[in-house]
Amino acid sequence: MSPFLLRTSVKFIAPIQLALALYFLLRGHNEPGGGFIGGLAAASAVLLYGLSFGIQEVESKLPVSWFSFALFGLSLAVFSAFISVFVNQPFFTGIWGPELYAPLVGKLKLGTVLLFDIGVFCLVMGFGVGLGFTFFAKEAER
Amino acid sequence: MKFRTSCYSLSGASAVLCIFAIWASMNLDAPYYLAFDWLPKVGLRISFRVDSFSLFFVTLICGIGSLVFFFCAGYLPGDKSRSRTLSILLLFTLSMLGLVLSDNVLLLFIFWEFTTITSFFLVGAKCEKKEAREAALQALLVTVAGGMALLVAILLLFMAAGTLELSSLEANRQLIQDSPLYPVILILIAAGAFTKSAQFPFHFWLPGAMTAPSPVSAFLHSATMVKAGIYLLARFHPILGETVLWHDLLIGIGAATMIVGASLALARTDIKALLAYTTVSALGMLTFLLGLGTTLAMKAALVFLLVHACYKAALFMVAGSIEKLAGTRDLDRLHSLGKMSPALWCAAALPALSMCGLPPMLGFIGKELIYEAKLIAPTIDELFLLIGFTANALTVTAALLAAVKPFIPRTMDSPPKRKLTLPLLAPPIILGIVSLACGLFPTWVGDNLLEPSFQALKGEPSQIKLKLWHGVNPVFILSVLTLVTGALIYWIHSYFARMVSVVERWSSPFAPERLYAQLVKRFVQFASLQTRLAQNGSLNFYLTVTLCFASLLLAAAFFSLPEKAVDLSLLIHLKTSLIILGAAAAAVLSIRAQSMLEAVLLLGVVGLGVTLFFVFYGAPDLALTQFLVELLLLVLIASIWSRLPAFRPDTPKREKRRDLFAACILGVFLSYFVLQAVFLNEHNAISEFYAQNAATEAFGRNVVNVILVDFRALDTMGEITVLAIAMMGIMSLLKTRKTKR
Repeated sequence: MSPFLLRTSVKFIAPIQLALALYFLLRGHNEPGGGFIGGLAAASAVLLYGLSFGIQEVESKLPVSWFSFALFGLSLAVFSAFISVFVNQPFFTGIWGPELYAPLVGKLKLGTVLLFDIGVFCLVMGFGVGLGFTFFAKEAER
Repeated sequence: MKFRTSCYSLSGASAVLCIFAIWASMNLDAPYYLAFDWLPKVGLRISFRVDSFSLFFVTLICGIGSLVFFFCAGYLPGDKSRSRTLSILLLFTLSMLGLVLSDNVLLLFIFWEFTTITSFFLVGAKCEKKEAREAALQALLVTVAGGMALLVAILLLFMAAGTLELSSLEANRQLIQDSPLYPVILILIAAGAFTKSAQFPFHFWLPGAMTAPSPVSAFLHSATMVKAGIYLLARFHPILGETVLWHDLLIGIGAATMIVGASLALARTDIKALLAYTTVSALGMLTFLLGLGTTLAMKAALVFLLVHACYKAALFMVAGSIEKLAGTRDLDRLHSLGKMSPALWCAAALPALSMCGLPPMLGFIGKELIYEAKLIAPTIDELFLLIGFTANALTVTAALLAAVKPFIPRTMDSPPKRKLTLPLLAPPIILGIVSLACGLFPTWVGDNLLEPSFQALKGEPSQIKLKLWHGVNPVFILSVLTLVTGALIYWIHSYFARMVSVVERWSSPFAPERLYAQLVKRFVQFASLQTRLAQNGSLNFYLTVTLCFASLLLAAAFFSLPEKAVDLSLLIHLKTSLIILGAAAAAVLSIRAQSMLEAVLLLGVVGLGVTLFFVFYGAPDLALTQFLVELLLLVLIASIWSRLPAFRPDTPKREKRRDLFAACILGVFLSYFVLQAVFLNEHNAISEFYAQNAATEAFGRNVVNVILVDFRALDTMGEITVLAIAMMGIMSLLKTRKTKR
């Protein structure tokens, strides 16, 4: 089967999937969703794209490795937990900022907790894509 | 060029910090505290204390650090792992600073372990060499074992005194010393300090660690990291000190280390190994002085700390420069270096003079003070005086071996002159000049650096003025005798070295390094045996064991239930029963599947059934997660499709029956407990709490996510860390395979 059909559809589907992932992430605090789910969704989007267009196509667009991406997520999560220490609150206390109104998502309250969730998102996404691509690469070697 | 620039800037920054520390030490009246609450509910704090004793160490670390970074600019270029080495050196410096500045003992422990880990990477910097890797592992294992002892000691301290801050531990001194835990605490803390500071019988890792690049040895293994143990003992002296046990333990171990280190040093022909053993000896001397614990001894320890850091770091750097100049560090092959580079000889001679304890170097003052402390100490035997004398004399010999023997010509032909770059020469010369300057102006150093740090440590002034010339007294005569003896031994050192080697060979079956090797070997054997038993590589076996064990646990729970009734009303709903029937049918069909594809797809159907279940019963988060996980699993399986083992629908009957049995048992118990859950969920206080407080306390209406990222965020943090570690493991496993082919 020619991958034409797959590629054409993925070209449309993958951006929607990514947008959906972000949507899951941002609305997670009030509606079903969150960093973990968003990360999984984003990972499946990228994996699908890589599967149909080849890994190089994706990795050439990204300046860092997926492992660094995941580590960035972990550091972000750790950092968000530390913010409270610097304003003399116990470790991991949620520090809240202003509330925004974001289109589609609705009310979005900024704060360290959201930052933590973004960290989880990045880690899960990096984990999923990194592993998947490593497997793909092994497969392509044979 | 870029690498050199970063070396110079690091060097400059450390120098500024060093000067600042000296200035602060001169002007600091009372300790300065800085604390953050970490987890106040369990009493954990991040707290720092800046007092003059800490500042004394900061001065040492930054001062030596500055010169070492400068030296790196000359030594490391050409090394392909140079950037890594430099950044780890920086990390090490920061953790060392944290160690000497922390007030909370747990925080101190964390920095302590940081220095251990960074030291592991630095010792193993030339990781393509087997001996470097082994030495790094040895250093790591020995010091980590000590670190564990220290951790236990800290927990016991908390039990005894109820606090973890050094400053309040000092106030609770009596409470701790009267506690029945006191001997255990002391021995464990000493174990931590002894492993770190290479005391006998743990000394062997330090000479092994000489595979590290010279700047690393100059920094870690002479001036800073190995002094961390001494720092710890000094800090704990006001808390645990001045008891018989403290006195005997430290004096005994210190004296043994002193003499063993100094004697073994002379049998070495590698300059760095020779210097490493003299470092061991010097650390023994410091432990000994801390064991004595008199005012004079403590002051002498402080002076000797400074003396030793200056001359030893300089000599290690000289050893590195010699290696660059002549391509070897072997004392038997080195000669005439003085003609090749007179500047280098000068760089070696100044610190060596201080090491010998010749006036007017600071080393002379240090040695005088040590002899004085030993002579007037009321509690020690003459034997220890003799040991100290011998160790000092042997140190003089070692200094001559390091700074004279390689430089004097042995043949008539004169080798060509070679110029060394400035970064290879300047740091040891500067350190030598510092030793000289401190010796010429001892009052200034004593009043501005050493006396404040003594006061910070002991809480009272020492009333001891540093002076270069005390007149001809027993101490001075001892000093002169030491020098003469050392020079005499140098004359006959080849005989002496042969004697030491014979003793070493004779005692080698009992040597601690042999014991360590045996221990590691046995441990690896045990681990591989255990792996063969528990992890034979068959997924089927793992699953069977896991399922059977889970069934056992559930069975035990089942028989202890008071109420065994089950609520079956759940199954009556049409929707539910349809889903269950569909999933069950898929599960049964997957058993009978004839191909891998079929099995995978059918299992996917089972997963989707569960997802639907979540959708209908108000758990959209779970449903989403389950769905996405199923999807990803499918993609991953597709990606490793051709790697999967051949599908075997024709498994032997016996195996099939065994698997069926295990699966059924677990299935029955699990279903039973799921249905039971309606009754079991009596204590729902926690979930109620989450549901009620999610919106008001954490500003979120989605309770599941609020629990994940706020109420129980620490759990999530643990989980994502595990994910990251798992990823690292999987990726490195897959990648190493690739390079092997």
